[in-house]
Amino acid sequence: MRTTTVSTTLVILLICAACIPATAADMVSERSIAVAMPPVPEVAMEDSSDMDFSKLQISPRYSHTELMPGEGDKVTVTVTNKDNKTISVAPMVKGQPYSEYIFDETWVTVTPEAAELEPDAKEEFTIDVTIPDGADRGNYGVQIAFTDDVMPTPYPTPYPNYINVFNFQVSVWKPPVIQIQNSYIQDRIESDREYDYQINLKNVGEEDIGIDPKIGGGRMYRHDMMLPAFEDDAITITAPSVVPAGGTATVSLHLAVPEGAKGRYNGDLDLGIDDPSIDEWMGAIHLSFEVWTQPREAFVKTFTAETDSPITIEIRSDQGWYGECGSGSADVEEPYFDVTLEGPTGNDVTPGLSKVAYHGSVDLGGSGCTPPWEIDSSGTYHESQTSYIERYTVAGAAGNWTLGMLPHYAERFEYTITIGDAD
Amino acid sequence: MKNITTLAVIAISTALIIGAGCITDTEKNVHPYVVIWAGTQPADHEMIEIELSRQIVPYDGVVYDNVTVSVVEKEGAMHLHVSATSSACGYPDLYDFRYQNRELVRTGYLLEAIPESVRQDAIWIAMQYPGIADALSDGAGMPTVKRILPETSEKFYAPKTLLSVTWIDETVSALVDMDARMAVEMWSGE
Repeated sequence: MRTTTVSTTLVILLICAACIPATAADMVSERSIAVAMPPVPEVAMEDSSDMDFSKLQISPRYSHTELMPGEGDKVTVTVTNKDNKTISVAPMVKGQPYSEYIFDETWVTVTPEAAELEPDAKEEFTIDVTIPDGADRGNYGVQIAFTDDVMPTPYPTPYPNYINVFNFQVSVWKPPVIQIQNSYIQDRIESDREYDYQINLKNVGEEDIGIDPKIGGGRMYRHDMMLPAFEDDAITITAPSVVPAGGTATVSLHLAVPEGAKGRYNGDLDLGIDDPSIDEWMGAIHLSFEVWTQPREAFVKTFTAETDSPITIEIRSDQGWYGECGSGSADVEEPYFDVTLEGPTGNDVTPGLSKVAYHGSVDLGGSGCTPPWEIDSSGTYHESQTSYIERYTVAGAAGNWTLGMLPHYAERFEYTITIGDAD
Repeated sequence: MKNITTLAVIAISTALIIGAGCITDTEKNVHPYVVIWAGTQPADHEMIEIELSRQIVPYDGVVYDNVTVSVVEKEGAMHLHVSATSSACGYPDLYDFRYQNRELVRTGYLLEAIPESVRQDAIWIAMQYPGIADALSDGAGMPTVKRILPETSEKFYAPKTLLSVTWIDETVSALVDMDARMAVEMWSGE
């Protein structure tokens, strides 16, 4: 009992101590700042437990389908009365707020038009949607409100928020009448050289289709702090303004790589196809260029021979190792090396090419590098790494040597200098 | 009269020879392509060719021009490696068969004889698949495009010819249904 009294007293004291500074602070604030505050309106929030709305279980609540103009689809929605009273259900077709395209209410019918649902009774409603022939490609949304109950809000809203509602999304699409070949251009290029590429377009439709190809959109591919190897104006586009019905057209790209260009260029060629069935992404050709910069000066390595034993120099270039299952591009030029050698007396020694070797690593498939649907294929050889090896041998002499190695079309290389017996 | 009889005999003989030739020709030309046997032809090569013509089927709309067959005999069976090419396609269709007891059984295939326009279309369709575009890096190279036969496709989608578009460097592949113009499965090395 005594303990309880002490505890109570302590609690009261703590509460008082907390209140005093707060009150003081309020007083100071009232004295130093006089700001006329508008009266805050009191919002009378309705207690949801007291809300009067029909409690219906709607299954499903949401559905999505893809349709072409002229096509239709049906969805069955089961409405169950979870209330303890009979509910009159009369489905109403309502446009979905913020939908990309306006769903015309005449495109949808709901049957039955009305139903009286006793408690725990259920009714299956069929929602029949037909997209007219002339509908635009895009995403359409519609709501089927089974009762007019709406969510109360303390402020006016542009759209009523129906409670007993089924949401239906329809993506209207059209097969493109323009066929594009290729969908991307990827190449390894060299600075101060010119390249030509072509994109073929085929119009399988019955009307001419306008095109207006432009370079752009590459910024999204570029990383911060990384400038493109060259600007968009290095690429010149030549194209007709239309692809005739049932005909073809060629879009030509001429790339003049500026001298000294280094790094990568990523961008898009927006074909500007005047066809609503093609969205922006589909009508763009991705461009990816890597400027291949070869050194012009040889890599120099000096070494000392302690004896007059023959000297063997082996240079190895590995190509393509981009990942666990990686391989390089098949279009890469074959590597080779210019090798120079200066002997101890300062004289140039011509190294004799004694061996050239090609090395490869081939996966037979069936490993983690094979898609499961290609396991049945035989002979799915995959060359994951290739190497090119040059071996030079010269008569040796004790002293200091200088080896120069200028690679061509090599991404990287290794060298081995052996003085004495090589294997 | 003797001359007429002689002429009649010659005419009938000629007709019979031509007729026989036509019949033989019809039996041999069950396929529109030229069969080339690399190495020695087996004794029953004609029977094998007829059976082959039933089992090697090009991509829809493609006609094989040449079919090269090489044979290795091993453990009492003939193992046939068949390369079928078409001028319309940049890559061949490869088939492996085992021939034993007059029965030709396909043991493997690698089918890349697909018209270039279809290849490009398949790549384009594969790249529409959200996961594919996300999985490919900027440096992704050209993918392989392989025909997947219905018996294999059935395990993953439906018993129909599909195309497998694979960026092996990126460990990414899409199984493409050209009729539906959509990728139906994606593989990313897992």
